[in-house]
Amino acid sequence: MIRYLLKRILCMIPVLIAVSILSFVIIQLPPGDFLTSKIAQLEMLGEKASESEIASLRAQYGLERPLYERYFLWITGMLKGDLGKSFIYNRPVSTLIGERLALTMMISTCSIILSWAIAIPVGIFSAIRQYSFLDYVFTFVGFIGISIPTFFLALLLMFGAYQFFDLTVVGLFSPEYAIAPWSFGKFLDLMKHIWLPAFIVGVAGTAGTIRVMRGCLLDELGKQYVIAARARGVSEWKLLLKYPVRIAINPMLSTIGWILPVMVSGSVIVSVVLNLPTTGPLLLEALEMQDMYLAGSFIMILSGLTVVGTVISDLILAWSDPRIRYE
Amino acid sequence: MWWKFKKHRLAVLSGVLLILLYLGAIFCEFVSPFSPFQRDATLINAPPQKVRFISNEGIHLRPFVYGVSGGLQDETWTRVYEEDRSRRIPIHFFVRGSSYKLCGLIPWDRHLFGTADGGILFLLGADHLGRDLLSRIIYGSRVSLSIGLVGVFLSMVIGCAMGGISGYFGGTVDNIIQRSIETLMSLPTLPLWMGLSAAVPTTWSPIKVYFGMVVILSILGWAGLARVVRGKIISLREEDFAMAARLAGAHEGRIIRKHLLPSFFSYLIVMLTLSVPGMILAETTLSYLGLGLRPPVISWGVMLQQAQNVQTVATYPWIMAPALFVVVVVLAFNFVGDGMRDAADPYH
Amino acid sequence: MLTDLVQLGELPPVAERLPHDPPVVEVLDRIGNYGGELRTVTPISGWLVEETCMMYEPLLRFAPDGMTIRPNLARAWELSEDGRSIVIYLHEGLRWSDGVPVTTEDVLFAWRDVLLNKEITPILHSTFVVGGEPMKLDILDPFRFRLNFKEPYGSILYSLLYTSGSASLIQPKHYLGRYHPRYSPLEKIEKQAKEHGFDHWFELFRDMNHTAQRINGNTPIEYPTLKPWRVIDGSAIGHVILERNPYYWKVDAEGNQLPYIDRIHSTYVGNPEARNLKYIAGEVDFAQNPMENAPLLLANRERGKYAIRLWRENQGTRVTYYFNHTHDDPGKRRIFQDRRFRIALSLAINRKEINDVLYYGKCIPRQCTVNRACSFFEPEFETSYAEYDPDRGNRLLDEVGLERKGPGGWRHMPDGRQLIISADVIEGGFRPETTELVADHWAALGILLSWRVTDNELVYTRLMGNMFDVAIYPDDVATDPNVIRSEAYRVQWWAPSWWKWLSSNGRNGEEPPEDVKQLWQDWVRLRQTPDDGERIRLGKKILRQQAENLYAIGAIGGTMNLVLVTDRMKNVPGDGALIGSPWLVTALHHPEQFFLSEQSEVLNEDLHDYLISGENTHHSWFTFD
Repeated sequence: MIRYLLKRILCMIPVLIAVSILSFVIIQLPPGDFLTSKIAQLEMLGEKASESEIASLRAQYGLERPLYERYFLWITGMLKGDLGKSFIYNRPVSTLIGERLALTMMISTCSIILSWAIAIPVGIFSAIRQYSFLDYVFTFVGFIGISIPTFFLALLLMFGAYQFFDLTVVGLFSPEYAIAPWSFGKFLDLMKHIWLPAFIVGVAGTAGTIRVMRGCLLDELGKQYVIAARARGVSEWKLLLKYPVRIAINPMLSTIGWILPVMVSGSVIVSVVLNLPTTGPLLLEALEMQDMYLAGSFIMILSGLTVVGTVISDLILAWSDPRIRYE
Repeated sequence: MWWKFKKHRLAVLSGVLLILLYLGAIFCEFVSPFSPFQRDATLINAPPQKVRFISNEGIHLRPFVYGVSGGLQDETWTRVYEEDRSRRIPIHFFVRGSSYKLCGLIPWDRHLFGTADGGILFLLGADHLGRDLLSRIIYGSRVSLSIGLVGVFLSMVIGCAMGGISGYFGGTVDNIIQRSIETLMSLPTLPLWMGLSAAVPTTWSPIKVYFGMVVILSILGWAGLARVVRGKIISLREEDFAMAARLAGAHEGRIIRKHLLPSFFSYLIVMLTLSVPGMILAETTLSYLGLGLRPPVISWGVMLQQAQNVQTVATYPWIMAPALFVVVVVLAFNFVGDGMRDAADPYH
Repeated sequence: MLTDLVQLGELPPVAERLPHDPPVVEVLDRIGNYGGELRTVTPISGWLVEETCMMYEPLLRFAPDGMTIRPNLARAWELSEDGRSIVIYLHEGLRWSDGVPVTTEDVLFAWRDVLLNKEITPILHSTFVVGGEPMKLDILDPFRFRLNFKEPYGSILYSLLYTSGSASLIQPKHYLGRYHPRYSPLEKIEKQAKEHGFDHWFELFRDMNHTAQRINGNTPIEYPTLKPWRVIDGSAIGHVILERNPYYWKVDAEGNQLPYIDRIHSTYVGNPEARNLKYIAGEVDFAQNPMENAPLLLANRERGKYAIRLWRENQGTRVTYYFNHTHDDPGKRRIFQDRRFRIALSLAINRKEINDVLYYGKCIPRQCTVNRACSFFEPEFETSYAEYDPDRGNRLLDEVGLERKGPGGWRHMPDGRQLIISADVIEGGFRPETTELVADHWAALGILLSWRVTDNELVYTRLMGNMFDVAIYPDDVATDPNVIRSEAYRVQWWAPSWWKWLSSNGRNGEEPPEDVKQLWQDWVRLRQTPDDGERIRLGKKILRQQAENLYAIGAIGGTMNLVLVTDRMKNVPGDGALIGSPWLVTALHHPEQFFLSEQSEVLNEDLHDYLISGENTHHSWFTFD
């Protein structure tokens, strides 16, 4: 077991190096650089950046240096723990991500909890009452959830909330609490605002989980041990919960490893539409403006978490299924 | 397997629907009543017209719509229209309309349905330049529906090749391929798409941009597929029939091609079918972010991007119609894929 | 709000805070009451766009009519007869927001130590350069200074309108001196720079210099400013709070110190639809909007309790087409340089249709030229080749030698190739929609316009590299100062290679024909002549040349900005007011005299019902029609 773990960790390193190179290249791929993005942005708003500003910024950001040099600077900085400074905000990347991290994780957690709380009972119900009317309804609703583009759903729900309930679902706090320090009142305010974003973020996942739950449970219920138990007279409820549900949940548990990166990045598109102060919009902005360090470090973090998550998932699987260990 | 598939009614229905939609996409010039560029400046943002059979003159066999009148309201700067009951515009089938080249090759001018003398027929309303939304959606389906298929096809080819080689040969080759797959899969999708799409030079012609987008979308697709293929190959490699083929002197490649792949062909088909919706949704997302395909190219993603604002939702909601089509197509593919999976599963 | 602080002794009384003879701001409607919080929204993180537009304190300013120059930070000025020098008087008793007096020491610091310092400012603003040399500064006494120029600089007044932000001639010496090697030891500031994460002292200096930056949430509260409000809290993500500057130096006619409004709360909302939602819910007190969203905004006025004022934008024409006179392809170059070609294309544009389809019929179909609110304006510039006459266009193109050939009837160049014009269009501003309509109009002439939506940075790069057929921009050469500042009617946009030659005095680029060289000479003269009459004559001459040659082809002007003003905001101009950066920003209308009709010291209160007196103030500062 330990050997397997060590082997996996060792393999992680070249992957991470490759990821760092790739992510750096990807950020630099679009034509131009941060400066041209900034100038373009200013022009859009009717402002002209003076040539002086442009020249001084170009030197300051080191954008005249060749690509590999910039990569090297960034990598050595990262190994020392310095994630670099964002061009857009002019503040350290670690601060920017850090201050948004708590809220992001909160939304992700809420959405996962919401998602599983809905999906598991509904999935079980659908499996037991297969082909019933409600089963079709749930299946249909579930499918709708995964087929609507998320940004579209976000916009519709955002507008619906305003039109019918007079709620503006923009941001996570009311303006008064946004600037106030943390307090119980602020926490309550957050709880009031968090449910719609969490719901939208989790919709696609919920639908998918319902289907997986239903499918796996159906598979299990058809198996012979279930029929045997039923013949022995075990009560329906006990029958359901003792084995089949636990086994059906397995595939979902094995995907827990990948939850890490999702929790950190949140759902980018939905956060952008709803204007949430999370890491998602930060990443999108960094990519659009080609903010080298912010985008690069962020992608590295996400990739790193994904790799770690994969290892964790594999570990869980290896622990539960000994055959894989001996591969 | 075909028998079992037919039992799943929803899947069959979806399959038929998809075939119809794809036919519509291929022959879009014929199916749509108008050209997607034809505009009527007096009918900007006109709402959909209701198709009727009964007028105050009685029942008609031929469906018709009423004319439309109205325009800009000075107070609210909104365009408001109402039915003009004095003008009855019958809908004809196989009617002569604007000329076109079917599939860009055959010149013709008959349309599946339309109006006889240039009457207004906006079954899904008109957009902000006064163009028929239904025609634009049908033309747009050509791009949006095909991107999914072509992208998935590309993923399949690359994925099977990589997975097959990796699973069959094992050892270092396997390791390298596996590591690169891992690398690719650990990059977060959104930045990957954004970076690559933004790198597609907008100076390319629409066709080139289209293929560029297909390549980008399939880049992540093949990695997942390769992994699955590899797993299957590994388990099948040791099966007896493979051993027998090897003993008979068959070439490695032949073994992969002729013996291993067909055994999980059905599984492959299911996986591919279920990947198409992902590609279609990805295309809409990228267009929403302003990457990839852009005006004047017509695709559902591009049309959705223009509909993606509160003003449309509140005032001219029919402009969101492409979303409906996206949902229907995605659902249809999912149902078909589910049906196939149920049919192919030997334990069912 | 400040009376408590005065009573506690932490702030001197008002009389001591104001300058000796504070400038009086005329209120629009009535004297306002103190208090309240103004809520705004910014679309860009790290930059408070609306606040930057509201707080603009150059030496001189425009009156709300957009033409008359008035004093601002400069109390008075004396321009010499020959235009080679100008004496500027500051207000005596003017103080920074931390109470330190403003004197010409700050002017000297700004000029000699900041703007002329090559490390802080690598390239000096062209505003301060005449005859190839920077101007010279003479300090006469603590409140007077003189600027000397090598050659006459008659339009210096317009340039002084620009002295805000990074071009500011008054910067706080007592604060920024700590980071400057002339006043602090070099090793000390280098060490400071490293501590803050910079490599050099001047990078730290630039970071600390909030006068030169656009308004953002990073400004420390103790930073000295002369603006009506100052940043007090930018720590919460996406929220910045500004509060009144206790030493603000303007008063109203009754002697009350301005501004009326106590606080400004700016929220960052990056997504445009989220912003729209906040607008229609009435959660934003003051916001500028493009015309695209008109139906939505107008429909929700009652529910959101706001009004929409129609202010006129600063542009000549919103979507303007600049054909590339210095195209690399010789065939296209010959055609684009042919005046008849450009006239034909202008005549083919159905401006009325564009106006009706996109602008709700409310804007003005015209040719690309300056605004009517410009002293160089003549009515014939506006109507030059702006009528809809495709037949004449076709005849002109026949004359040019573009024959219709082939199945589509498209026009071909004399060398046999089809004339296909490709255009990169930037999203927004109705550019794609206008281009689609214009493509239809030009198709009637047999010209194929192949366009696509592109990233704006790419467009910019291609413009600089002379790799375009036609450039599409909003025309901003619309006011007096803009005509003076934009080199020879923006020759950079329609003939990059000629511009290179002209601006490098013949070293690079390609030599232009005589009439363009003359245009450049006219522009240099325009900028420098001290004679007002001659300036106007030259301005009209340049614009006449544009009207006859159509270097820029425009379609619709008089576009409007839909300014959202909640019912509780008062003293805000009604329809017809001017807006548009950089000269006619919101500051033109004296936001310091805006006030909120209910005082709200308690900030958590919900907005009450307002006096919807139904009087949308329809004062037109300037009538466009």
